[in-house]
Amino acid sequence: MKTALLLSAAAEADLELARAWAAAGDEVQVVLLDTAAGIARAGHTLHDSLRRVLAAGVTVVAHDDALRRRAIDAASLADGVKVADMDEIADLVAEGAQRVVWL
Amino acid sequence: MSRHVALVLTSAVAGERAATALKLAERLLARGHRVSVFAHGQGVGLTAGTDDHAAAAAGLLRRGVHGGTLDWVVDGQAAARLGVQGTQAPGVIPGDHSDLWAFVRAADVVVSVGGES
Repeated sequence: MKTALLLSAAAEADLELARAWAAAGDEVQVVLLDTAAGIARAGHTLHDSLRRVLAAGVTVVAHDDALRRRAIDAASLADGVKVADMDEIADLVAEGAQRVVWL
Repeated sequence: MSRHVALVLTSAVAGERAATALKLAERLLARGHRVSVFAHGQGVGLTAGTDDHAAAAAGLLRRGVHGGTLDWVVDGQAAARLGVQGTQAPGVIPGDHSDLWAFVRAADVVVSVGGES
C-alpha cells in the first residue's frame, strides 16, 4: 500500500511509525512540514532516526517553505532528503497515495 | 484526474500547521480537486473572527462562488460552545457530524489534520 505520512511535529515516534510501515511492506513517503522540517537539517537530534527511516526504504521529502522559514538551505540539508513544494505535496495527497495520515 | 479530498480539522489546529493546511487546500483547489473541510472542536476557531487564517479561508470560499469546489462546514455545537458561531467567515456553513460522515463517505481521500502537540 502506498502511504503518505505528513508530519508537522518533530517526534521520533512518528519516524518509527514510518519505518514500521515500511518494514511491513508499505511504500511509505514521509513529508516533513512545519516544525518537522527541522529534522531535515543535517545534525538534527533526530538524525539517527532519520537515517534509519531512509535505510528502511522510506522516501523523505521536506516542504520547501518550511525549510526556508528555518533557514535550511541545500548545503545544510541531510543526505537523502528531497525537497517538495506544496503543488507536489498536493499531488501526493490527492493522487499519489492510498492512505494519507497527518500527525 | 479530479479527486475529492476531505480535510478534517480537529482540536487546536493553529499557527504554522493551520497555515499549511490552508495552503494545501488552496493548492488542491488550484489543481482542480474538490475539497471539503469539516472543522470540529477547537478547529472551528480557525475560521472565526478577523485573523489571517479566517481571511484566507474566506478568500478561498469567495473564489469558489461561481462553480466552487470547496465546502467548509463547522460543527455548529462546537462553535456555539466557543462563542464563535456568529463570527465565522462568509461561506462557512454551520453543520453537525452528519456532514462529517457525508464528506468522509463521498471523498476519495480523507486527511485528518492533527492538532498541536
